[in-house]
Amino acid sequence: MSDRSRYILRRVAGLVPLLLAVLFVVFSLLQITPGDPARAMAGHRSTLEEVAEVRTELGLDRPFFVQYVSYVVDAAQGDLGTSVRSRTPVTEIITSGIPLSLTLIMLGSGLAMLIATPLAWWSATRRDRFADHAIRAYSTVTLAVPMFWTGIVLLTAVALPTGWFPVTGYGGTLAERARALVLPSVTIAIAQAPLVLRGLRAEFLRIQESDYIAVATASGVTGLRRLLRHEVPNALVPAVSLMAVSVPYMLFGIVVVETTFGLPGIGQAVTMAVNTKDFPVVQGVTLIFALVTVTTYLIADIVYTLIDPRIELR
Amino acid sequence: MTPSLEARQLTIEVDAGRRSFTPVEDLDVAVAPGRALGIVGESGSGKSLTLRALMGLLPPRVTVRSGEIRVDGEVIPRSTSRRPRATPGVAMVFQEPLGALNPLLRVKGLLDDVLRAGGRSGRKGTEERALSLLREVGISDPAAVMSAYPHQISGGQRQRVMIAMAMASEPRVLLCDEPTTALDVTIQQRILRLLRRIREEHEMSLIYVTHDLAVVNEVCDDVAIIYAGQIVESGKAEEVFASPAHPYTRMLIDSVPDVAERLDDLVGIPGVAPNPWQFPTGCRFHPRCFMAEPSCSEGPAFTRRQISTDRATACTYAEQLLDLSGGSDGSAA
Amino acid sequence: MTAAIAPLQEFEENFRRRLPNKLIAGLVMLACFVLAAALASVIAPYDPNKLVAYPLEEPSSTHLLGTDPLGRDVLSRIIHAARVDLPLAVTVVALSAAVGAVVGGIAAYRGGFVDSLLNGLGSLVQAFPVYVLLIAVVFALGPGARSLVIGYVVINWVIYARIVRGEVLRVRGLDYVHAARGTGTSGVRLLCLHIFPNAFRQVLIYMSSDVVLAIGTIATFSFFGIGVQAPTAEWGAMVASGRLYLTTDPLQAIFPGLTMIALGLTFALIGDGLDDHLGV
Repeated sequence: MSDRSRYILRRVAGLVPLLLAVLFVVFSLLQITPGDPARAMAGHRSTLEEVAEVRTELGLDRPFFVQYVSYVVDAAQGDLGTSVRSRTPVTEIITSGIPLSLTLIMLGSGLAMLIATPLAWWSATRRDRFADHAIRAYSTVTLAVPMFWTGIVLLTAVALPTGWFPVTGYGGTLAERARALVLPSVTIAIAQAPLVLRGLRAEFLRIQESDYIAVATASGVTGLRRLLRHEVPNALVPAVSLMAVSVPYMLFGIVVVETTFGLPGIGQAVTMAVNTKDFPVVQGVTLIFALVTVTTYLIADIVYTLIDPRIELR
Repeated sequence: MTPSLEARQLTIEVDAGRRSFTPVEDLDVAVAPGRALGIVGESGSGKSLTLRALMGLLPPRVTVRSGEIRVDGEVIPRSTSRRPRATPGVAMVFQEPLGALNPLLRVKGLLDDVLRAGGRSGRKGTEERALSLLREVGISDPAAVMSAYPHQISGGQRQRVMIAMAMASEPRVLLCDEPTTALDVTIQQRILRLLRRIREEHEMSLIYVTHDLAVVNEVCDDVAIIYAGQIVESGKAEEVFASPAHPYTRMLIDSVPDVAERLDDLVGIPGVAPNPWQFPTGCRFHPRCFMAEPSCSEGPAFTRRQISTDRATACTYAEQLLDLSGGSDGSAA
Repeated sequence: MTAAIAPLQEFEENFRRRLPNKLIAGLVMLACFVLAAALASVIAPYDPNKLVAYPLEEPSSTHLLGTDPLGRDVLSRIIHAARVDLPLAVTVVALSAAVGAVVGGIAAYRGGFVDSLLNGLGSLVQAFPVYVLLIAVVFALGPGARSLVIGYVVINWVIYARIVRGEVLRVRGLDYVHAARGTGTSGVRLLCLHIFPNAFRQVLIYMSSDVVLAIGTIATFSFFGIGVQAPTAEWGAMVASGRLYLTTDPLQAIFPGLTMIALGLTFALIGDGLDDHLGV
């Protein structure tokens, strides 16, 4: 077994206690609800029998610790309970929504990098000149713009007048789906780019002032070759970590954007479940979001070892 | 004799937003063919910036405002930090080899980069050339070093790789920015010996910037003392050290701790070097000078005058100082 | 390179004492917002909750920004919403900072078990995408401003604890603290005199950018209907109610958003200015 695969295995094994704790937090959500969660879930007009039924179904009549253990055991087998509203298993809701959400995450972060990297490089190169001030002002302003508002403005200003993009919904064919994803991805990218941009600008400044760039220039390595062989590779490690750090914010973006644009991903599933008091779904989706976050950090750590020879596999 | 590399009336400007300042002003410095010049000064004196300007590679926001750089008497078009252009025939060795070697490339890649950018060898000859360069700078196991990353080799080896990279362009002048400060004493000696050897073998000129007088004594033929962005004294190294013609040089020499001397004899230089945005008027050294007269603080910055064929000083009272040190070798033409 | 640009850095430090324009602009804007919020009932032309005209009127001289779907004056509602959003955003951030500072300070000072417990809790909270966890917490506690504040502090204290802990550990290693200790200065005095002022700078800089995010988050939650509840005037909720009339009346959603962005920008400017002024 190579050093790298051993490193990955060790890291994955190290996640187990964290995941147990995550499950505990998700599970405890039910416990911090004021009043009777079974009653809240069954609805205001439910009869006592119905409430009792929900309670038994969720196992709320058993002791706390027993509930937790059975929740963990079930989760390990891929059973996250059943939606109180639609009666579909939570796992099914998640598996049907997650391809869309992951696609959005990839498109959104890819687009964010495409916006942020050249801007950061340009800003650093033209430090303290007009372009730099303009780019920094852009990142300050966009930081203050909430995503739902960006989405609404894009709908009003782009989707409605042109008719190129659907105002809401996903569609059946690939072409329809692709069109439906454009504005949501742009919305995420607009919010995400400034978060990465600031850090990347600082990195490019550091790189451009470094001695190894001076050495490269002194030896006649200039232009595109210097950019692609020296500047960009050295910015990659910080770029990956900036992306990883902004993933939690990105996942919130998924929730906002899917709700604003009416896209049937897990983000919309969670807001719908929140509005209908569907506890198992909220728990399940929160858990999946945590899983995605933890996995991203892990992937980022592995990617570091691939691009930076200085990082040891500990 | 036409100098290999020289700076005339060099003024370097640092642009810090709405304000700017000139840490190097009207500086003249030259190195003759085949000779080694030491530029000595405290940190912040502008010695590193001068070296960078000679190389044609100033950091971002730092520019040559006026003056010219000449190679073999020919004026080199000015390089800007936006479009930096390395001075032809000149190569540089940096202070911190770890920072000067791209951490993501193996030594092979680093040398390959330099050799191919220079266009001196095709794809095939590159590896041969790289190996022979590494051998030349005294790396005993070039093949192993070739496939190592900079962080995997020792400090001394890194500096050797750095020198090999500089030598790859077959420079006529090699600039060294305190290349041994980061190394321990024994390694330092070896690197200095290496520099001396390759300079002789390739008949290069050398400019060596440092704050360490002992190193200059060891490596350099000529010396230029820099203070607050100007050369205050220049001449043959042995003459300058034997009988300094500027109080600053005198104090620099006296401040070198000598193991033979008693601790009480150690003379430091009082005060600190002035900030480059508020240089004193008149002689810039006057606030710290033991010989300063009231007239020293008046007028524009003091410029150097010739006191013998190859010695110059900016001090008005140089002759007094020379008498003081009892040496006549300095003033004798 | 460091050697070559050292004078530049020193130079910049020398002129940092002047207050940056960004900071001044931000503070002035903040003063305007605070004044508007404090004097809302004087400035606002109408009662924000009264039906004063027909629904969805265009902007006119009587209703500068028009009326909302119920016939309430939009301008008055936007002004009154400042009384909700501004204090709420500042409260959640200040509370998070306070909790974080205390926990972080204790962890760094006591070390050992307390410290590892804090670290574990911190990485647990950070395993969740923070705002998604906030959704879940607010959902569990029931919608409303109170749940939002509690949930926000629960997810948000960690980062402050980390900052303060790091800063305390750093400052504790510095010479002057050793010197103060050597002269018999007590632990508490040391904490108050030397350690907190240093950590405070970092916390303050982070806080101002955190407020920007808090304003957006509070509005987003209200937009979803799980934050500030109707009929209280709140920017996010106003955007949500205007959203249904996008085709005919897009301004309903635009104006409250612009106000929110202006407030966010105010704190962003303050944060940037503070960073330039105090940052390392």
